[in-house]
Amino acid sequence: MSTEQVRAPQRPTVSRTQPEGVVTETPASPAVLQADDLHVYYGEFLAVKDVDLDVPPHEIVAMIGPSGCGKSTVLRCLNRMNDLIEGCRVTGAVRYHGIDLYQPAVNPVEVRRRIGMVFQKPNPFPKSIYENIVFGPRISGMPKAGFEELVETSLRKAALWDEVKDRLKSSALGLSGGQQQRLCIARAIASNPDVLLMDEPCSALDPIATGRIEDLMHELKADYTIVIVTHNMQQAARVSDKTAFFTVEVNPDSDRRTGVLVEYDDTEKIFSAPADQRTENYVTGRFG
Amino acid sequence: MALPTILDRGTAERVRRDLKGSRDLSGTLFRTVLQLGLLLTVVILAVLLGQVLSLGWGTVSGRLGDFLTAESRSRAAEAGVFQGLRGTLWIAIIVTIVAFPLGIAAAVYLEEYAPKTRLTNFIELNIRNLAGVPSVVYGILAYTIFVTVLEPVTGGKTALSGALAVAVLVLPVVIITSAEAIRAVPSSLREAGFGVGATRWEVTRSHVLPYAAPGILTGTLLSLGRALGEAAPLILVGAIPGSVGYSGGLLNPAQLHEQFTAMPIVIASWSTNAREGFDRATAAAIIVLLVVVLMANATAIIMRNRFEKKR
Amino acid sequence: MADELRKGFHRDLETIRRDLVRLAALTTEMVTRATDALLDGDAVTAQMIIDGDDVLDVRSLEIEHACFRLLALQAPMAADLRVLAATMRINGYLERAADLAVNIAKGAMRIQGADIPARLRGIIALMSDEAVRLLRTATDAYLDGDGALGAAIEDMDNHLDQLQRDFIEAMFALHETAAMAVQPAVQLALISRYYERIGDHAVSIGERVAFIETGLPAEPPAAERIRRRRAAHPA
Repeated sequence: MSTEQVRAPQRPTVSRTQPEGVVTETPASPAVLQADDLHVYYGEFLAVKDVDLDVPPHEIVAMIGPSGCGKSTVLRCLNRMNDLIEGCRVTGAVRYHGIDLYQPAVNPVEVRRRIGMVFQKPNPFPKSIYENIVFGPRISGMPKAGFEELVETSLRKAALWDEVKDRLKSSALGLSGGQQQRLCIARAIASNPDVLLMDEPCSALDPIATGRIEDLMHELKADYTIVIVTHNMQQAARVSDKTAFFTVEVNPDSDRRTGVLVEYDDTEKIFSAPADQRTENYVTGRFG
Repeated sequence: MALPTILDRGTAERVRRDLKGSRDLSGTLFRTVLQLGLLLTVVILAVLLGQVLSLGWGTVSGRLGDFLTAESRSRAAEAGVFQGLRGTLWIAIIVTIVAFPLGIAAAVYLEEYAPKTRLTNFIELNIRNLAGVPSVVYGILAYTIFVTVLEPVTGGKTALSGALAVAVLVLPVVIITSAEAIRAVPSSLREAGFGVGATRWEVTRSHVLPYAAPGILTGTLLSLGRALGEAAPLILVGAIPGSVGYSGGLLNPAQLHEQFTAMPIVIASWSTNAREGFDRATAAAIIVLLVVVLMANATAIIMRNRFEKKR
Repeated sequence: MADELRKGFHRDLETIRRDLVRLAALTTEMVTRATDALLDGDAVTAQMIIDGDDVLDVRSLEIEHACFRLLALQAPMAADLRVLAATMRINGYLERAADLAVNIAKGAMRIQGADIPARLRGIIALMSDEAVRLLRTATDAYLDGDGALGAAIEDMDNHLDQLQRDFIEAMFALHETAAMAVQPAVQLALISRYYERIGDHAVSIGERVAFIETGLPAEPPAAERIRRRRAAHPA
């Protein structure tokens, strides 16, 4: 029915043996999201390799690394946003509460309702603030009666309610950049996900708006699990509980660049005493 | 003490000289050429309009109502453009009903749904080429398909065939302009939609099409303006100059299956009519056609502005 | 690394490290000179040492401020962060060690003219050499980033501790044969304690050097004692 199904990339080998329409689960793991031997290809070209990553519940996981290291690509694989990229193919597994998201029976649209996303540039719909929030709930068939309340709770959670409660019907594009980004967070929350993926959510914002969003992330931790990609190491250090460092490996023969997960550990460890020399070089600015 | 002062003065003079700079000769020349180009265009337009207006103004101001409602006559003083106007109106309606939905649908499919393969690239390239094909060729195509093959439906050389010919003529332009408007929709908007769990159809309907609407509208209505001025395909499909039509009224559906004429045809035939007064009648008909086309374009602009405000 | 980023920051960091090494060398030299003043009964040298401490204090404060500045402006990470944090602590230890050398010089002035028995003179010389050796080792470990060497200073310090105990025992033994005046006896006992404390500071410096390399905080002796007590008397 959905076109994503038709255009979806080839399925990973693991689940190809499963009968169609049957969703398989692996035994319960404390991790909400789990990347297991994840490789991402663009056509024939290996973009990211060997990613093993457990995201524990109610924690903030930051992904850092130089540009081109594949951190955003991996983030998009976590809720199948990468399906929208032509020629993108994934092997290995991404498990959400133990369910492999890349098995054929899984509908990517449903995945994205449970694993919300906030993007680099604030991208509210060119509609009213109210309409921005209720779009997700409406398409997922939530009863209209609860919309008023849902709009308020979502905006409150995103720490935006007090600023916009008197102009819910005015255009979202009239908000400042920081407010727009918090609206995008509220919009993601409204679909009632339990994971939020954030792709450099503050890179287009000024320091004060950035501080607000970071503050907000700490509050959201109580209800959600958050994975954030950031190019700002200080931000990763400030907000996250765990940090994954990615880097780029250049194949000397083909000059192809492949992202690779170097180190994944507690944020304090990564920024005070990383185990891998490459991490050390990156966080101290000795990156070559 | 003296040395620094002298140096300072020298420096100041050099700075003054440098700041004045040399004259940018090539730049000035280029700008002059551009201005001349613009001037030439405006002059040509003004001469054309002036000629037409001065020649046709008497008819338009003197007997506008009669001129619009009268049928084609052999005497210029009694001749009117009613049938031409009627045919042109039918063409506008059929193009709006047939070419716009088809063209927009094709554009949406090409941009949002079709995978970017060699085949779709080839198709898109061909659509672009079709937009550049001379309209006479469309006339031949329309004659073969609508007049000959689909004769049972269209009734042969009828208004319907002519309108369909023009619809096919503008279809590539509609597809291209719509596709471009859709392509201009920021991908962040699509991502936002997919990000909250919308299907492709929901994203297209709720976000992409509303955002692209002004662009699509402008493109399609401008192409309509062009369609209304086309004469060549209509002649091939059998538009006849002079008095035609048996069913009365302005927009009687029965007229679709009857012989027809259109404004450009009327103008073309009158302009070759050597009888007294037809040069003035031709100019007046041109004024009428210009006003119709201007109205189509004005509609495009008004609607685009309204959509953009809503954005 | 081919393209080092943050070159200016790393140059500043290197300057701080060099300044600290210089401070360590000055402190070490002070210990030697204080010992000479003590054993030679040289009040002039002793006074010079006491006055010279102000210069050293200023340098120490400068290093502290430079560290603070980099912390505030450069947001150091990983090894850079560990170096800066450790340097600030080591800076403090060195300043304290220099103060102890000043204390030795002050003691020397107080007992100026009194005769120090040959046996005690011998042990003082040994203690001084040992304290200097520990400081030098700590400095080398810092300069080379040699965490293992830094950690080894704790064991090396046992010898100095033993020398100090020997010194006190020797004082008691000497007192039995020929009673010592109270003032020289008290001063000498304190001075022996000063050498021993300098050794302890060298040990602390060594621990910080080890921290720079491993990132693991040194096991505090207190924690070890608490654990042992708990093991002996389970609640």
